[in-house]
Amino acid sequence: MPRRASRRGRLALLAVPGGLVLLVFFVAPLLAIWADAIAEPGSFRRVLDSPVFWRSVRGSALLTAVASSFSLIVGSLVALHLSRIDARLRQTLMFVIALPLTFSGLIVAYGFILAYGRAGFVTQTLAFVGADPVQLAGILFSPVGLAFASSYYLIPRVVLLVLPVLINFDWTHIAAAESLGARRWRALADVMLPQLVPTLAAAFCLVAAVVFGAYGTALALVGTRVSILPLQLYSMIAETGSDFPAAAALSIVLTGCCSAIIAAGEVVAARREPGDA
Amino acid sequence: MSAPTLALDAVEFAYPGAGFRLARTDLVVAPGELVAVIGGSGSGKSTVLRLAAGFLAPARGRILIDGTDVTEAPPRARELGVVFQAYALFPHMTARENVAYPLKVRGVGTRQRGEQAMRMLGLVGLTPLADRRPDQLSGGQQQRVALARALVFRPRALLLDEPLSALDAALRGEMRDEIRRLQREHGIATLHVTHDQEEALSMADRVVVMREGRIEQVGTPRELYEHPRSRWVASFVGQANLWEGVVRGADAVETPVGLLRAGPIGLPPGTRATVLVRPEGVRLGAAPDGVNTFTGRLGRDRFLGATRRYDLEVAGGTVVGETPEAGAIDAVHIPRARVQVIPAPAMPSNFQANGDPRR
Repeated sequence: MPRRASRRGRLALLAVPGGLVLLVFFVAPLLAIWADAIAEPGSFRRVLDSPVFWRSVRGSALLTAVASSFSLIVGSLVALHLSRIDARLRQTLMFVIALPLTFSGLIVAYGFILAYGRAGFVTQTLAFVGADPVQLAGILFSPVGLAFASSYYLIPRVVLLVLPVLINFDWTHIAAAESLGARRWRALADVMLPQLVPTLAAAFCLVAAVVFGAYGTALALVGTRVSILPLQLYSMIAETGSDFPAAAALSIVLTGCCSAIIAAGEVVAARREPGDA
Repeated sequence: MSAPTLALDAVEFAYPGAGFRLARTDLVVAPGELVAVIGGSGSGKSTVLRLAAGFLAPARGRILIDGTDVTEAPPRARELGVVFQAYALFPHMTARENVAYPLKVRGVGTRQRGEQAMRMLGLVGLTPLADRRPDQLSGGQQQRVALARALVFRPRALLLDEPLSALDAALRGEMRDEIRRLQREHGIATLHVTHDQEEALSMADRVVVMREGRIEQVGTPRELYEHPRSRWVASFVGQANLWEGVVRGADAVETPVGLLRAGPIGLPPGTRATVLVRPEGVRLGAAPDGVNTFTGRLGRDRFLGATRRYDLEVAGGTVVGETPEAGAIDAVHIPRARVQVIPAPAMPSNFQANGDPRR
């Protein structure tokens, strides 16, 4: 019994660093924001009554939906391709694909401006064949352009999540379905897709939560011209900077939204292996 | 004579980049017949099944089903029921949905396919488990679902790819009988690939023995067991005493364990040959006339339940025998009729002075 107790004590000791980090860098700031938000009555009401807030909600929802869907489709196709190639080549390609995750959002934005901005080399090249550079650059500095730029660092996340499931997928299921009379597309839709849906949904939720709360690339690319929640919060803190309780309330709303999206993904992912329960 | 249900006609195949190639292969499965293909790893037995199923395309030759050339047809158009080694049941579907799937892709209505799936599950004794998913079924139950799914759409032939290899020994025996029963009841031509020679001998009407991408011998289980055409087939199919020897007369072969008398051999003296004696052909005690009698020391002695397999260490090698009797053993004899002489195609490189009892 004493041995068991000391083992439990050692395990508790191992949890201390993680617990401290959680306390200092998550719980304490969150409590401070809560305290700020509720210090002044009506801060939440002011946020929710503001037309700017609802415009930002719509902007964030559109950006999240477009960027996440696009990333999910592209990332899944990339993962499907990677799952069918030689393991060594796959490892090399994975290194290249994961690179964007190491870049700061500012670098991504700067790169996109240099490539697709009004004086960007892609825009200028297309201008040679008759495209309007102003119109082209306008797309980049819109919510759609922002979604496109965000996909740059969302797609690798999708690939990282979906690839292991595809590698482990038992292709004899497809062979079985075909031998039972199904065409290839039907076998994929009836047999592969249902097995992938929980992973795809979890990947969608994860990248949706990331892009919903991200502001670095957005700020560098479009400034505060596009209405999305993180940029509204940025302008409330950095620019107008007069209503901190409302900013804290908006922070709570933003955190709540991201947490809800992540939680939805976790619930779906937990259903992935029903037999393991 | 009606066309065979399934035929491989001069089929050749090579995996791109790999060393393995299937040499020209001719194989037929008659209507209602169960043909087992056996061989070790890399023998090409699974390649034969994949070619028949349409998962691989032959480099040369034709594949015929009921006399129709299906060489270019995709798997779905061949109407063959395939049971895979790991069953390949769809994990997100219940047993009933799995069995109904081939009917669903053929456009059979929901109610009708549900009824047919249940009837099929009834035939394999799984009616109460119809709503369970594969991960809620045992290995044997999954096997039954896979069989029901492969039979429900009345395929033209059944292809079984090592379907019993994932089951424990007791269940394997039970499932052999089950598969044979279903196969006979449906009168369906079946190609059964397995590495288990006992399984093949006990189930098949005919057995095809494969080695290194070519067919070594085709015959009934009894023909293969009693009259193997080569030393390799003799060693692969059943237990065997195998001795390299030289023919010394009309009925005698000189071997490392001594001069063995056989029935008429029909080979000229001096011919190199392999002598085959099955363990059950070895009798306890000396022969009344002293022919083919060996005395020695009892080596390994294995209890196998109904029988006992022993090694008698004799001068020049080992004689492996089987007997139901207990007690000490110091002498055995081999009746002439139990001595088979297989002509050797060439001098084997691993000519052994000792006997070489093999599986």
